[in-house]
Amino acid sequence: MFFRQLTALLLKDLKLEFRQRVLTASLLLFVVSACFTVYQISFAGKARINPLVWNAVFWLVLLFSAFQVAARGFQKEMEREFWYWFFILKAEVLLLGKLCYHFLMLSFTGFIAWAFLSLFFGNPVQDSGMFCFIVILACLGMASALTLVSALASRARRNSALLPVLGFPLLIPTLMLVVKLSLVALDDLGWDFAWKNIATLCALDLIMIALSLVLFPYLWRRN
Amino acid sequence: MPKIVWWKWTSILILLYVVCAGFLGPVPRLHIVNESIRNTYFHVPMWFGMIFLLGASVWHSILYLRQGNPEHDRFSHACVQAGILFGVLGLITGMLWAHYTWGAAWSNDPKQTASAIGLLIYFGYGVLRGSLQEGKERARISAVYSIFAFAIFIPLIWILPRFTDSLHPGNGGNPAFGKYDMNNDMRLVFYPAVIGWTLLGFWLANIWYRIGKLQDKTTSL
Repeated sequence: MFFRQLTALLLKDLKLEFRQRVLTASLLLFVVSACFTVYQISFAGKARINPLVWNAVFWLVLLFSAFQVAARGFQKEMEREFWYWFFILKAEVLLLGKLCYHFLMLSFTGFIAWAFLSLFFGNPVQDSGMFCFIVILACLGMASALTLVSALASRARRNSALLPVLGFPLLIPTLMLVVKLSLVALDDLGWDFAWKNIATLCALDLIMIALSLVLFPYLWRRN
Repeated sequence: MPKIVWWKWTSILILLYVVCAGFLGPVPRLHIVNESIRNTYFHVPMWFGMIFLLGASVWHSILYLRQGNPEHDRFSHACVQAGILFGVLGLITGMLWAHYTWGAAWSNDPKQTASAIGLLIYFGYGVLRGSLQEGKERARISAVYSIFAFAIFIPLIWILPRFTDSLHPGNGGNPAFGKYDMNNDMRLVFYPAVIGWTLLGFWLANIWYRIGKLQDKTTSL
């Protein structure tokens, strides 16, 4: 029952997205504009972007895209159609469904950002497999933190402004870990160099997901 | 004269002792730090106090979510306010110390960075509370955010710096804080300092709590 509801919710969100393509379009536009702007600002690549800077730009673009992904996260469920969803879905199902949806959209954005940055600046990533793995883990962490914060922010008045304000500091630990890890993938230093940081990243993701699951039921009510 | 509780008297006496003994007492002669090691009596207890205060805030947030008593929410908010104050003071004393020992007030040491980020997280708590209408909803949402923030804050300051090279003692291969060159002379002042500053922090939180309670009473009239 739980998994049926979960998959139904996830498919509903994905289908809606596929039909209207609003979020996909805005994410693509944002990623392309951001990468292009950085390209122009760095004098069309003449600033000799080294792998460290490429890394920084990539994660920044992904971070700001994450805010876009989560911005409209709970708009329908928590505001307009609340009572309908409240009687159908348990809190955990809704949270996990939204989390998976945000995670998928964010991973998609991550790979698009990688592609476009490589188009403009070349691809400095030497261990692509590890980099993929890192991007996926990072997207999971960012999605879990931002899903809960988006639920929080949707109850406040200035919710569009609140999401970055609350979400940014909460994402910085994940970001710091992930940037360090990416250097291992960029320089192809091998998995044994990275396993400790990967374990920490997994642990951080787990903490955020578990806490979101525990705390979301307190937000999924109207009294 | 209003009755002042025993633990408040204790905090006053301990802090007087710490300030006097801290500046006049003997300290070991260490390379580079020299006399500035006395900052240990102020900088480190500020951080301990902040952790205890934020921990108390989380505890009361959990109690609020389980029981719904608005007193818990009020005290949790007061603890966060006191915790932020201690965090800012800790950061300032740290920067002052770093200016003389590490060469620059801000040297991007991971623990320093992590502390600044932690303060940003809790400033967000203040913004969140400010943008919500008073009542059960504000209390519930602040409680949820406070718990989530603390759960991210603790890994940030304890675990992340251990993975990187840090100028702080106890990180980056340096011996842990307990084995740091702190002899018994310093311990005599340091342990009371931790207790004294923590008690002062809770006193501040108590005052903020009472102010909050009176404000709520006047607005509800």
